[in-house]
Amino acid sequence: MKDEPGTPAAEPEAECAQAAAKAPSASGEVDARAAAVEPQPGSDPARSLSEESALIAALRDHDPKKESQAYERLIRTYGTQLLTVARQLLVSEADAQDVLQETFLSIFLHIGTFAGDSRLLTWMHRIVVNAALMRLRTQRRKAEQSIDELLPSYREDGHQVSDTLPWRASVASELEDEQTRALVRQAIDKLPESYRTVLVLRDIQELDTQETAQILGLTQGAVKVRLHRARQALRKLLEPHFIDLAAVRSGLPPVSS
Amino acid sequence: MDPSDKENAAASAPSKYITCRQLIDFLGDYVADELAAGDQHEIARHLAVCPSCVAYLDSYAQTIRLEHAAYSEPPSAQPAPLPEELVRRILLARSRAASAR
Repeated sequence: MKDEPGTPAAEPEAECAQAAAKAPSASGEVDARAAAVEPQPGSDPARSLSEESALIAALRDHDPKKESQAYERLIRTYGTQLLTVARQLLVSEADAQDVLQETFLSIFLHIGTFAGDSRLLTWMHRIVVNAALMRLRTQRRKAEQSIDELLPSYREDGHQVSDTLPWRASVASELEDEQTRALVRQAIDKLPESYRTVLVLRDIQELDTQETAQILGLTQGAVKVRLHRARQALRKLLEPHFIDLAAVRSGLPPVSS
Repeated sequence: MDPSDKENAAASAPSKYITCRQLIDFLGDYVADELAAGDQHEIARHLAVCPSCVAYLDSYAQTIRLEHAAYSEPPSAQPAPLPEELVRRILLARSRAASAR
C-alpha cells in the first residue's frame, strides 16, 4: 500500500484493490449510514458531516491548487491525532513521524476509493494503524522481552508467591496529574511489543475485540488473553509508584476496597 | 472454574474456594462483565477472605483507569499542532507523488 514518493503510480485498479483490502469501506454511497457513527478513535476534529463531505470533495478537486490546500488542511486538522496513534504503537517519535508521512501519502493516493461507509477519520485511523503495525513487523529484529517477569507467579497451591500490596487510595485523585499521566505513558511504552499493540488498540484506541483480532491476525480468544496479560504487566510496572507505603511500613493488613 | 482447597477458608465453609491463580486468570473477563453468574459468585466468595486478591483486583482496575487517563485530553485542550517541519515534509512527499502521476 505504501508508494515511495517519485515512483510512477501503479495502475489505479491495483491500487484501489489494495486500498480496499486495508480500508473498511468497500462499496456504498455517502448517506445517512455514515452518520450512524462507529465508536470514534478520540474526538473527531471535523465538526460536522457536511464539513467532512466538503473536505473530501476538495481533496478530489481537479484544480491542483484547491486540492493542495485541502490536503494541507487535512494534515493540520488530523495530523496530531494520527501521529499520537502511531506513537502509541511505535514508541519511537522518528518512526511515528515516518509512518505519519506514509499514512498521508496513502490517503492522498487512495482518497478516490473512500466510499463514505465510515467517517473519514475512521478510515484514516485504519490506515495509520496498519502502517504502524507493518513497520513493527518489518522492524522486529531483536528478541522480544519476555512478559513472564511482569506476570504474577504462583505456588503449587495456587497462592501468589508474594501477596499483592495495596495501592494508595489517593491514586483516584492523582489520575489527572500530568506527572501521573506521563508516568503511565512511559510504562505503556515499556511493554513488550505484541502486548503493547493489543493494549493500545483495545484500551486506548477502544477498538473492540473482533476488530482488534482482525487487524492483528489473531483469534478473539488470543486478543483477550494478551490484553489481560498486558494489563497485568502494566500493573506490575506501575506498582512501585502507587503502592501504599504507609500501610506496608506499618505492617497493617491491606485495606479492602 | 474448578473449585479447589483454599487454606484460609473458614473451618465451616460449605464448599471449596477457587485459588488466587484462578481468580487472577479470570479477572479480564470479570471486569468486562463477561463471566457467568456462578463464576462471579466464586470470585466474590474468594475476595471476601483474601486481602491479597482484593488488592490485586483494585490495582488491576485502577491500571485500566490510569491507561484511559494517560491519553485523555481535557475537554478544553486543543491538540498541539504538528511540528512545521513535519507538515512541510509530508506536503513535499505528496507533491512529488502528485507530479509522478
